[in-house]
Amino acid sequence: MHPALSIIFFTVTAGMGYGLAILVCIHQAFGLSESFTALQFMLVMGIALALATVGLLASTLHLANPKNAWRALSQFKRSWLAREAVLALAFYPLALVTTSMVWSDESSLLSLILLLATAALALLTVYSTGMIYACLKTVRQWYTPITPLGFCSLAVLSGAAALNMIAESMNKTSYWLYGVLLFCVVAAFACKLAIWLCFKSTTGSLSSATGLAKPNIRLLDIGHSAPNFLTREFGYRLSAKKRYCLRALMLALIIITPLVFLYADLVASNAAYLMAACYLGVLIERWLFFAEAEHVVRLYHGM
Amino acid sequence: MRLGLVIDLDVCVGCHACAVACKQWNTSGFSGPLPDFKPYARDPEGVWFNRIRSYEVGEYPDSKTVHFPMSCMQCEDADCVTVCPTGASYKRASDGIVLVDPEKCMGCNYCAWACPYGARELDANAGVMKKCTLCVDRIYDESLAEAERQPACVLTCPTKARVFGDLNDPDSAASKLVKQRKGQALLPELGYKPTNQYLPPRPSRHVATDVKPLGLKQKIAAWVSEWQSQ
Repeated sequence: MHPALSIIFFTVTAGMGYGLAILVCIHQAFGLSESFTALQFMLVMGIALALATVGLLASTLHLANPKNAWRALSQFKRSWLAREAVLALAFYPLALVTTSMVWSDESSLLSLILLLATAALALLTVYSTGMIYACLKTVRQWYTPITPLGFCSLAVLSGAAALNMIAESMNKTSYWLYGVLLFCVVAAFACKLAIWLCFKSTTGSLSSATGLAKPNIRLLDIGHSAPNFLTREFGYRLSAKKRYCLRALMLALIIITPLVFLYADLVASNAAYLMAACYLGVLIERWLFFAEAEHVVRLYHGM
Repeated sequence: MRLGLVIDLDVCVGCHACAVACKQWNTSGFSGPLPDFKPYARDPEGVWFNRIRSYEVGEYPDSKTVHFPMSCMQCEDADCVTVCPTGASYKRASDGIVLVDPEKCMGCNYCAWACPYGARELDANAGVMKKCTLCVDRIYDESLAEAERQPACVLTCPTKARVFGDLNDPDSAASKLVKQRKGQALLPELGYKPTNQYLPPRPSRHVATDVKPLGLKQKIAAWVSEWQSQ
């Protein structure tokens, strides 16, 4: 699949925003480590909302006809893309109500419920982003429940790195985030490994796709002389060298770096580096997510 | 009703007339225009509802060229409709034709991703997804003679490799052909229940290529008989 930069930037940046919102709400709800003051909480939620907004705006760059984007809210019942759009928009009022509750009264039961609901809605939004890809039977590497798990673990991982950096800048060390980081690193690695090992290539062949049931079929003529929508959208070819270099770089940034930082106790002192490594690593992961995905229509093009 | 096409891979000669007739009719039809981009440049391209690929099947000398036209399969369980977030893509209950409402489409390409057949192409000028309409603006047009109320590709095919009909009606010519020639759908394992069916090529005759060259004696005999006949 063609790795479209607008979608990559959107899923990674908005994912980080939602991950940040999930963690800061849980942090505040259970008073983990040192609680943020109402002002600090408002600031973190503001950053989370800003990240989500920048991401959502970038996603509209992918649309060929953005004036109809509002219609994407209409098919909530059947389309995961519509569900993502509705959940992403519903997140704004809920986040505002929650923030104002925390502002007015930090310890009430209602604010606890609101904090947990905000965290749940943010997680659900990221989950539905993953399901947009996981529901497509046409792309073998995506059509698995592992896809949304990968999206959620990476969103929370980058959110944890971001919250850690913000907390450090406020002189609050949140040790529970170390546990979150470790859990997400392991989960993200397991998801990537499972997809790499289980879905190496498209199932099927030119023989099964054409129904001609002969083992030796070769493409003679593609029927057009220049690249077109189909070859550009689905025909992306990733060279083996580039694939393995980027995979190694990605693993170094989002798996090895957090583990080394946790082991060497650098999470607090080098919070900004950790955040940068995670963000860049997830960007590479998402680029590979598209570039490595093989759409079934490639079979007809002899790819 | 479940309208669709039956394509005979045995007689298709890969002339691309169906694709051209489709483009000619549809560019001013329901989903028109079908724009061309850089038509006079080195790398011309455009929106097509029908594309023909050619394959070589089997090993020489028993190989065969199979031309393979592909357009929208008008799937019964069309995932392109399910995934559409705006409701622009819809499947008509009356005849099963899958269409795109250009007033609602936001050009997100998601339906094209969901289609395994490459049947949907973005019109980058209008920012709208386009696809085969099964000539919905032709097949019901009562101002045309009844024989002409068929998709443009079917009418133009010089080898009659394309048959249009109701695949739900066991007595339609299309259904009978499918039954008789063991027609099959493409990628049935994905579960989209495509309506269009493909009739497989008939087995080809063996062409002898392992004939030994003539010896000197046979060559002289052949030359003598040729000389005598003159």
